[in-house]
Amino acid sequence: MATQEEKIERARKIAMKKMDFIRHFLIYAVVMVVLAIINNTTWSGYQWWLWPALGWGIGIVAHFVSAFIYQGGSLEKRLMQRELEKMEDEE
Amino acid sequence: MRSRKTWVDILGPVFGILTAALSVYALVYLLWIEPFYRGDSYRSFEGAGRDFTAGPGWESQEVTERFEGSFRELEIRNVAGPIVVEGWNQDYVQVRYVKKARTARYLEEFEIEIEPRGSRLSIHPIYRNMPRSPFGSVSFDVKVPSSIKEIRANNISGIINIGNMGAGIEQTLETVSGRIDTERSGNLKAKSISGSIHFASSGKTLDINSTSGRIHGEILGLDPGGSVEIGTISGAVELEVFSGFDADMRLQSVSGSISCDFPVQIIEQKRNKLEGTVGDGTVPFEVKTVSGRISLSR
Repeated sequence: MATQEEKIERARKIAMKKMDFIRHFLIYAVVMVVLAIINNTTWSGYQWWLWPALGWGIGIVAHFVSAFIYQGGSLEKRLMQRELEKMEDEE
Repeated sequence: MRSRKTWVDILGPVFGILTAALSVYALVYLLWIEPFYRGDSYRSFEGAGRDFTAGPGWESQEVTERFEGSFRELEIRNVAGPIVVEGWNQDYVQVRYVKKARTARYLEEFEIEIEPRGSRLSIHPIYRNMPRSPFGSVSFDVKVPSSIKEIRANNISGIINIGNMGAGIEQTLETVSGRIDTERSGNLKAKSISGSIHFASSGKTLDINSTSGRIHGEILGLDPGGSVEIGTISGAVELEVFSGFDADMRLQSVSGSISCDFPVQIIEQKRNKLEGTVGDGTVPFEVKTVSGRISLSR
């Protein structure tokens, strides 16, 4: 059973992750808009800016999943508990 | 009591979905233009193959022109794209081409020069020196009458295909990267750096050279006083020769086998070399390859 402190810490981490994602996305959006403008003002054919959009986009989607969908479950808790027990045994 | 959703909880999923949608779009676009395709060069004509300019980002225009006159010589040069020349029973030359450029404006500027000079018809695209190379490939499909006696085709990246020709038409065909295919020719000179050569010839002289590519040909006739010289660095040479030909023959392969269906009066024979005469031995007949087998069959 998690204590109130643990819950607060966990909630703080989730909130930070969400804010990090928003910042990450805004940087991505600004860079992609700049690249798309450069691409289309110098060359209106081949859309090369989609290469970084794809590569970085996969990273953004992964960040979104970790911030909003999968925020760490019971396995993480059990692993943490096991590590704590090991440390206590060593002491 | 549950607190109300913040703007982060609302915008986060929206941004995530937007990014996923953009990534999927980028993936589809980039796969559609086939960025990793490394197959045969430029074979887009009449849907015969694939062309890296077939995807989005290229404008194309098809033009058909007709040239009256008793042309004896056709000279056609291309940089990128196939050259297809076919004989037909009309008495004029028809040139059909599909040119490609990055935008409609560049397409207008992309000129194809077709110049009748006496008995010669000369065709070639004009690639003006412009930044970022806005001009793409050109596919040529030329129909020629029986008055044509000589064809000279030169390509950099793309196939050369000559078909439906009468016998005795002299052909000089050269490409840097692409296959050469001629159904029937008189005197033939064909050269390809990277690409196979397929031919059928009944002329006096035959000069075939490939750096990297198989050579497969049918020698349907060989006049006395002529010569045959065939060479490749990397690739097999397979020849089907008419019965009763006379040759002063020299076949040599550095690392490949040699097979010959004709009775040879042997002068020298090793695993990778065969020198001798067939019949009267009137025509010099030399085939050389570095890496590949040589076979002569009837």
